[in-house]
Amino acid sequence: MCSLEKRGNLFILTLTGSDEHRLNPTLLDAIKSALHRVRSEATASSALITTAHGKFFSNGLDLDWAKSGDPEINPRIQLMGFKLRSIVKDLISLPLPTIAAVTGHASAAGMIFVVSHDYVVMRRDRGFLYMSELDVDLPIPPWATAVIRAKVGPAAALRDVLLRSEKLTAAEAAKLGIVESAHDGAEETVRAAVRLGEELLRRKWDGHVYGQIRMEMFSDLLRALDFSENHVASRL
Amino acid sequence: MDPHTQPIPMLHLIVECIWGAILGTHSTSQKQSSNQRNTHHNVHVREARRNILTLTGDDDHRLNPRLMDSLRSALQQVKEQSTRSSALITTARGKFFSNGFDLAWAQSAGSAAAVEDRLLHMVDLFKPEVADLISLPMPTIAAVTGHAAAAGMMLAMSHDYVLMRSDKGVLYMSELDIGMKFPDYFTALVRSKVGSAAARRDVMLRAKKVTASEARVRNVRTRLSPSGKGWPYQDSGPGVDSYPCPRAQGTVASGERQVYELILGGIAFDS
Repeated sequence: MCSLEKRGNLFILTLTGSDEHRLNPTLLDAIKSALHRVRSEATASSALITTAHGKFFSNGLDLDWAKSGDPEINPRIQLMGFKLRSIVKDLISLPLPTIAAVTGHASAAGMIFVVSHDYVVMRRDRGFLYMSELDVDLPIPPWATAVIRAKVGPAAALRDVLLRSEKLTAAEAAKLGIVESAHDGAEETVRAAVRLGEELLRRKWDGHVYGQIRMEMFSDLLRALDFSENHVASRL
Repeated sequence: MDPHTQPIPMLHLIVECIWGAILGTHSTSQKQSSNQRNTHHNVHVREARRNILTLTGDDDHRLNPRLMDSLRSALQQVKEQSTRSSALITTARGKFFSNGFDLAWAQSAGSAAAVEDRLLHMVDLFKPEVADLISLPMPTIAAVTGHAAAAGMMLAMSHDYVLMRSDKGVLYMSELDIGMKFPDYFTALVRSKVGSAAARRDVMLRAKKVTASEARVRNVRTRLSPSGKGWPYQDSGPGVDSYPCPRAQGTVASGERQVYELILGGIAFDS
């Protein structure tokens, strides 16, 4: 499901297998455990790179497993949403820089997972970032919109991502400021992530301070991620 | 109307309030008969009051309690004397606009607890300065002639417009590099002034040293100015100033030209 390895001071979390890496409870739990390990094993100067094997980075929540039904009250979708929300919170509080090396398609919840990282490098020749919900008649839960809003800058970009369900290539995403750089092929993308990681490590930041600054930067987002918990009509 | 300079010497800064008259023209056109148009040019004289607040001395203008008290008084004075055509230009002498809080002063306290207290004290003192600048009843322009780091950068960004030297000086949130968190109002200020999420991340989470041209590209609101060499501002003497200031050069003078533009553009504030 996912593997965690360490290369020097870089943690590399990989979504393994050549499937769509649908975010079902098992995979979500595996990711959460991996992040927990990263947090406890992180030394003074560490960084995390998240990447994936195969054609997909992640194609979103496991809607097949959830079966059909109103997504607002479907308990399986609520469960996956809850687990993903928790992972996003972890990523925001993680005491080290985080980089998503997007080697394949990332849509819906998969895109949320990607943009929850501090930096995104992406494969130029294949793959989209895509908030597919509008195209498949699924409402986006408020907390997920909050993530996109916090990470995607100008109003026009936000509109294109959410309200136009744009399939963004790496180049387009780079222009919108969502992606740092675009690279040819999966391996080169991961190498670029490693280079970026090492460059950030050279600054010798205190991970604890880094995490706190990030939490302060995204304090609104953290509030939005918590709010849904108390929401009576508990949507995702 | 005589231009009038009132230097208000205070520790570490000077506020000069200069006012003069500006010739402005606008034309109105009236149709006198069905095939005739008369154009009248109305020349009017508007009083313009530009307040130039300068952080003096060749040091790095650290925001310690003493400087901040002077700053507070200066802003209070500017506010009290404001008129419909006032503006504020904040600038500094030397290599630095401001290098932030006076950490050396904090660290010279007796104990770790006392150091912490001094730091918090400066954080608390600076917050109303930011509020004062944001609520100042006139346009405000930071003419950033040198490096602006940490709280110094926040000082610049509390202004409506930021002009920078194109050849020298950076805006720099240095906190991450020195292992400090920001106060929440710093984050709020950056969030409200820096448009793109990626730029906010680079400023706050990457401690990027932003030059004038990068600031432009990255939506940190700045305008390039012709290279600000030294301190070219000169009072043009008694009489009437005409627009545009023909020999305007340098960052401060750009700020001034901006002021003229604002005033002629008819921006006026009711205090």
